[in-house]
Amino acid sequence: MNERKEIFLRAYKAGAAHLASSFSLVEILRTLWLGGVLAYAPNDPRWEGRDILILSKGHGALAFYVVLHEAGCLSREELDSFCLPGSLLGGEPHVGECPWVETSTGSLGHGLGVAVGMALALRQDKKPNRVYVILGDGECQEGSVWEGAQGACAYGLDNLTVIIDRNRIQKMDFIEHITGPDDLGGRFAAFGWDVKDCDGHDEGALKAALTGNWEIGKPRCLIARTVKGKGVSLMEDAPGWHFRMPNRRELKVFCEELNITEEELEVCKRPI
Amino acid sequence: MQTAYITALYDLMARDERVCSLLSDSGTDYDRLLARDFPERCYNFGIAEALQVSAASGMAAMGKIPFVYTTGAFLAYRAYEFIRDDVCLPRRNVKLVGIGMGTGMGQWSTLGPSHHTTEDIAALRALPNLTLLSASTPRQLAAMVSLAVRIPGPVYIRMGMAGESEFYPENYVFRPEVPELILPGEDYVVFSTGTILEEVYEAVQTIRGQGLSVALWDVPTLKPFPGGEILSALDGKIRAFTVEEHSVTGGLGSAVAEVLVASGVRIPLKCFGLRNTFAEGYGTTKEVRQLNGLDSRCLTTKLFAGIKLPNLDLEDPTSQF
Amino acid sequence: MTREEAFERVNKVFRDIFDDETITVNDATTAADIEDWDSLEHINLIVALEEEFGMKFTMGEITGMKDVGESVDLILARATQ
Repeated sequence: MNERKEIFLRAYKAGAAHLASSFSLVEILRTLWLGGVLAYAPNDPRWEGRDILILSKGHGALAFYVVLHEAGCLSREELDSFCLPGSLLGGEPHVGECPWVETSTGSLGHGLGVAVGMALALRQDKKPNRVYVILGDGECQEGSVWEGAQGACAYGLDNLTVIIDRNRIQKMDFIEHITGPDDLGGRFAAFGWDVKDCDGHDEGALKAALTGNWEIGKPRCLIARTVKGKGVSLMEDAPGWHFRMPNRRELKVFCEELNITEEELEVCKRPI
Repeated sequence: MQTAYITALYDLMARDERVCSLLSDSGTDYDRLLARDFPERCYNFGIAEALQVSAASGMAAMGKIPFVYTTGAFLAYRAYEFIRDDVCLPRRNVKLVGIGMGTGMGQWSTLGPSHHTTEDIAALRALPNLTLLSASTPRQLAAMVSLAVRIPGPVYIRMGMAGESEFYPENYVFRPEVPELILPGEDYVVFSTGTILEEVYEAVQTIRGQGLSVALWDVPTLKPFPGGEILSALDGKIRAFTVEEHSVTGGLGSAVAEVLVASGVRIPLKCFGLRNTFAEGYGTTKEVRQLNGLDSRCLTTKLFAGIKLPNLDLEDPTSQF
Repeated sequence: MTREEAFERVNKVFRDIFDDETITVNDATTAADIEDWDSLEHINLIVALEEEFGMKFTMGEITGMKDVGESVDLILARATQ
């Protein structure tokens, strides 16, 4: 499946979506769900033995749903309903709708704190399940992320892995233009995390990093270097695409680069 | 409404050196122009709402007039204690602006409850020293922004995002603490606050078309609450209603009820809004309002039922006991 | 600079911004007439017009602009090149 094409078609039908943020997450999610990293049962979202994945960067939800569909966890029909009235799939993960959503996100800086609690409970019950959290790099500007980082270290939660989608761009601009040059990995290391980094679009490197060896007793932080909007030249490394759909002229480029036919587009046209 | 905001703020900044714009990665395309013309007075703290509010407090302490502008849900909920302790407690001259009240995010409402601002009135109404304004149209919002500078101390303006209908004239003058009469009527009265006005207006017009005499008021100031004006609007009415794209707990409905009970006047009141539930569903803003019983069609049915077959439906649908 | 000259240069800016050689604007042209003319392109258009004519629009003029004719009036009043 061409996940980025699928993401675009769902967004086009819904009318609005965080395209660029979703495009930067594809390989990370593919590695987790299709690369044998996460333990899960496609037909039993609440299986006791599952690893926990929290999409703290909630606006990457569409990429999450597309990969879930590919992994056999969501039906075609559910995916096609994205953001339509009556749908259980919205622009941000919301508990009680999609069974694969472990906690509601959308407001940033919540996922890591919740993950700390889940990791603590799992360890208290001596369960081997791991907890994974996907953070945006812009999201790390929220103070609550660092409270979570601190708490995870205080309890030596080595059953907790953070993956940072390091695409260097936030809503209004390059992160560096807003909060200056920054060593995100250095910050997590200073808090006491074991930190690695790799190419966030190279599934081999992602899998090697995630399943390789890490320091005992330390929570794990993998910085995945990505490109926001990866897959469509117009969006790649271009601020301004955070929550915007292409206009008529730009649409031609999207269709060309994602090889979307006229008919495929027409089918997704929604009468408003 | 965001265009109305930025235009009004631009004029303020051109006239008053003290006025500054503070963002948390939440501006519009027009902010590039604002920053181009007033580079030394435009700040963006990144995704850090608590810092945005605290920094505003510090700037106000030094004589600036900071406008804090971000999504209403993040401002009113996440930064609530910073608004309380750093702005209201020391009574700092900070103007807080929450974007996207209710479920609307412009034409689309696809981000769900985490982005809905449907409990901010209840939260903010309890804060001493805070003037709480709720804009229903772009012109009213622009007037509020211009006036906010002349209201000493903390001001919170809740506003829409885009595409709201206009009900006020070009030369509209916003008068704090004064509800605006939108439609006159003798027998029944409906109070509305914020951008849901366009849906309420259509519903009330439909009912008036059935020969019922119904007045419609827009209530832009929620704190200090204009109890006197509300009471005079209630005078002689058989029944009263409130409508808000907000929880019925602690919002406009509660404020009107407080005034009504305290006055001893015996007029039944029915409050429409979110009955202790989060707004749910996705689609266009109109579709999401409909999913939550707040579009003009649903409101027409509810108002009509409230007038024709009133029942004391006091039971809370979500109670489990 | 005559109104026709101004329109010629304005038209060139529109064609560049919207990357469409068929565009021909006149006094009555509004955002509704050009599909891609949304708030983001509006800003790009304004900045390009300001550079072309060596002038500045105020925010009120930018957000309140009704049609191209209005912007040409402002350009004729304030253009420096």
